[in-house]
Amino acid sequence: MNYKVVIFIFFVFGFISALRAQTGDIYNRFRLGQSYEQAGDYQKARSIYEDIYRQQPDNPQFFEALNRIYVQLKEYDASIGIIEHRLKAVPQDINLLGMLGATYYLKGNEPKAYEIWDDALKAFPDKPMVYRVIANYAIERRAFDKAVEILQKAKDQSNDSFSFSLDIANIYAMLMKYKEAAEELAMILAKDPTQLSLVQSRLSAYINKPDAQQQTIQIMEQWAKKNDNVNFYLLLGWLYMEGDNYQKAYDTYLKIDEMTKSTGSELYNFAERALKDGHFEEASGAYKKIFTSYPNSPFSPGAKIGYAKTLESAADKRNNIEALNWKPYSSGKAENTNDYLDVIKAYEDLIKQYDGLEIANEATFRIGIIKLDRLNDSKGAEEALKKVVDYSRISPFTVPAFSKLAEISIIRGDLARALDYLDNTLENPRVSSSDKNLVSFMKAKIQFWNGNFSGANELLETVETNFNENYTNDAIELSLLINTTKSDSLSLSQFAEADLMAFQKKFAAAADIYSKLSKNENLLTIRDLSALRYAEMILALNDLPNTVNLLTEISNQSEKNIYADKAVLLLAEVYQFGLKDAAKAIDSYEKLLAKFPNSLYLDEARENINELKNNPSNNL
Amino acid sequence: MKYIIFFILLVFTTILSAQSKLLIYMDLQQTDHLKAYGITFNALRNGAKADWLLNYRGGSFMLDFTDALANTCRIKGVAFDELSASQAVDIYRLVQSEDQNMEVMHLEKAPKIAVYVPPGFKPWDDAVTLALEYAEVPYEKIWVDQILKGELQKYDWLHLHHEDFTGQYGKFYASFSGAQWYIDQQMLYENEAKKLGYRKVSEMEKDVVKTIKNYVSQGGFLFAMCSATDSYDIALAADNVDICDKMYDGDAPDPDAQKKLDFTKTLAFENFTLEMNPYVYEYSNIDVQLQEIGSAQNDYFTLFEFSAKYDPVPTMLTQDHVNVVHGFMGQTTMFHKNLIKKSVIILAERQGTDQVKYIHGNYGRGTFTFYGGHDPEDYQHMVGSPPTDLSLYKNSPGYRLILNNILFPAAQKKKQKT
Repeated sequence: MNYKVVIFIFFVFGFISALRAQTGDIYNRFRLGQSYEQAGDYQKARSIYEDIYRQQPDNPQFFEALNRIYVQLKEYDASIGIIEHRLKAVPQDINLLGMLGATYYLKGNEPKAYEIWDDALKAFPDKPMVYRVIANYAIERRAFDKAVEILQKAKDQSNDSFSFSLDIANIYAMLMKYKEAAEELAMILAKDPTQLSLVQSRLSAYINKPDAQQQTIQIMEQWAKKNDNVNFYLLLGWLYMEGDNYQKAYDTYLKIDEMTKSTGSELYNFAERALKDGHFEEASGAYKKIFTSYPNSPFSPGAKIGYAKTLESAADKRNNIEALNWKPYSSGKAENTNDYLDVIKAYEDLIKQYDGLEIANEATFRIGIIKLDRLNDSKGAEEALKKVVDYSRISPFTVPAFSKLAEISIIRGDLARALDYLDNTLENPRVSSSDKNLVSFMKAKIQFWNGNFSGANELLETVETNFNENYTNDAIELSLLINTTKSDSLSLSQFAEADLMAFQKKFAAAADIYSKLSKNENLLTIRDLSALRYAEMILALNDLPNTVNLLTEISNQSEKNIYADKAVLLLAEVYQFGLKDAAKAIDSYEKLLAKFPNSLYLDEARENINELKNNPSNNL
Repeated sequence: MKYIIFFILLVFTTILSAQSKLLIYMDLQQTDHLKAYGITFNALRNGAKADWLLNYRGGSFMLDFTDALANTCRIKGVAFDELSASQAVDIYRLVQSEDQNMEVMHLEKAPKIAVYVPPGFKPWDDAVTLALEYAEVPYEKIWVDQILKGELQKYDWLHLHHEDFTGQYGKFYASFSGAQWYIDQQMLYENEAKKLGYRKVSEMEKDVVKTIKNYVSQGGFLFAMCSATDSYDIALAADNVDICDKMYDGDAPDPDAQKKLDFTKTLAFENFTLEMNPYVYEYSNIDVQLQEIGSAQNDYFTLFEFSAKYDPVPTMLTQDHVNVVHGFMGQTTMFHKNLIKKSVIILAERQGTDQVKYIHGNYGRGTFTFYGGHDPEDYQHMVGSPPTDLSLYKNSPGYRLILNNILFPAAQKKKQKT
């Protein structure tokens, strides 16, 4: 008995050991096959996989490896063979059906692939997961149209159409079928309004591609009409702004405001973006709507200052303020000062309402700037700016207010007071390095006007090293003038006097001095520069015919006048911007190119020629 | 004989004396080399004639002087000299004298230029279009459908840049398969293939390269840069074999792809080995690798000097104001010399290495020129890098080599001196 038991136990152990050894061996061979596969030796890998698959045909790992290698070797019939064999055991294995269809697709038999996938779906018509698995096989094969068809069926069958719509929309967007993508996203939004940001983020991935915007807007407009859903309007408002159609965006936001009764929050966001993008009319309309319709809204103060700013920008635009920048000197005064009365009124209303607050301080500062730069009302400007500097040392408007007060003092001829203001600027904790450089330059100019040329030079040295500043060139030019002409301090003093008058916008008086200096044959640099400045003063007085004569005279002096090239450039600009004579402007620019090949202004001349020639309204 | 020469010079002088000349010199004195090509090209378009004075002051252009042309030069910032007829004759005499390696090439007619680019392409992603735009040389964009419809015949010159004709989307898969631009690009090509009845992009590209090859054989001028060079030849060699892995065309490549390559079909390269790993950013061993180049500071290539009178074509293609040019990288940077067919002329290489930058060859009645690298003024142009502002590189010798190619088809064919 004992003997039999021992033999039995020995036999069982032996069997188990043999089995384990065999199993271990087969897995070692599987790993070897994988190594061959990774090394790109597919034939050897196939041989091993076939062998181990024969031994264990039910092992899913071996089956997948063998199928993979068949596909890799393009042996599609063999792949179909093992999949079909396996399907006999599990005929409704959805992964196997997906795989079988994929192999037929690779083989080039698309109808058969679709038939297999469709049959798989028919077998499980109410299981959304099955649709997704089969759709993934189609996507993997990049059969996107079929994938959409499958996902559409899934969407129809399922209660949760959301995720399917999102997948379909993604595929449509990839296929550049933007209308269809928009339809799917609109369906999501209609069913779940909280998905607005998701829809918007999906759209933003492709909305700037050709045709995407137009097609998406078309679909969303249709959905907005048939749905009383504010989210469609929010989406449309955003789409219009992306397409730079601010008028439609404004109308849309008015509608949103009506629907949401949100005390202007959406309108305020719209107005801020419209102002930033330079759409003043729409921004101003939106701001006004906020503070008139919702006077107690928390957005009302911001809307009021925003409204005043839009009025100011619109007035600048009407008065063509930016276009005046081509003149070296100008009064800066707006042609129609009445345009700014409404603006000032708007700022004053703000000051009354928010007295003592930063918003009122900002409004006061804006009034100061308008009065100084647009209305030439230095007294009114000073009054406003003094209030700003008295309000707070740390307000962001204090430093620029001090600079402007210094400018007013210079205009009045009170240079000592101007220096005080400039020193106040330097002492302010919010002063930037750029502000400091400007102050140094202005202080140098004051020294120059006072006849303290060496003092001016010392201050200019600090400015000249800052190449990032706009006025570095002016500093270098002034320094050069002082250094080359300081031996004739009398003439230089006269020039400085005229320069101060030019700053003070006393153009006629400055013109007289420059005219005299330009006729003094004993002077060199001062004479040449004065001739140019004389023309610039006449230009500032808007006497364009005389300006043309003076500049023509200088430009004809060619090498004899070191400012001749600058005069030709200015002459061309007078024709281009002042007299609007494109042909003569081009002639002058071309003269600059031909006669002054080493001039610093060649690039500017070339740029302007191209601009004039490319402007169809010039009829050249 | 003396009388004949005297008579020829007399006639030549008489013709010239009627007209003063405008010399656009192209040596180091030139203020804007790139725009100079545009001036000459557009003068030809407007019916003027020009002479390209090979090897004279960096390959100068001589045109009839007109006030309008002089004005245009000034506006564009191109330096020139106005020459009297006798001064011009002196220059022609010097250029044509037997003891000078110089020659006069008459430029007859501006070629019609096509650039092969997909829709939505931005000019700054391609050095040639950047150069053409800057020099104000007009060109038209064409893509797959126009090429397959036979529209190439309308053009004299075709440029390919940055294209992957193998259908592997630049082999950017490992780094950029998740990037939106990569996904969009793949969809764009797949949609185009589907529209034209192809199952795979690679199959469509094979027909494209064969059509282009046919265009060259019939007298077209082909210029390719960057990855369009080697990928073009690889696509030709792989005409009958699938070399694309599944992430590119949905199925596995032919396991014997390398053995099945047919090098008799290629234009420039032979005996190359494919890089079949889809995760490696390289098509084959044609391209010179980063580690072979070493430091960017030492990366210079040298232009070969050819006999202007006996080899005018390579001379035209290598006209430059310097003969050593700073290198630049690209998806395909340079070519290994041992893989270039013997019939191909090497125009520039890194001296002392097997690295070739610039090659030229004939096929049928046409020619092809391959120039390695992406952007001559952006050493290592990356995906998403900002465009190069050519107004900062008006005298770029690397860009000049590109523009030589657009004027070379304008040259009147001369009987070869033997």
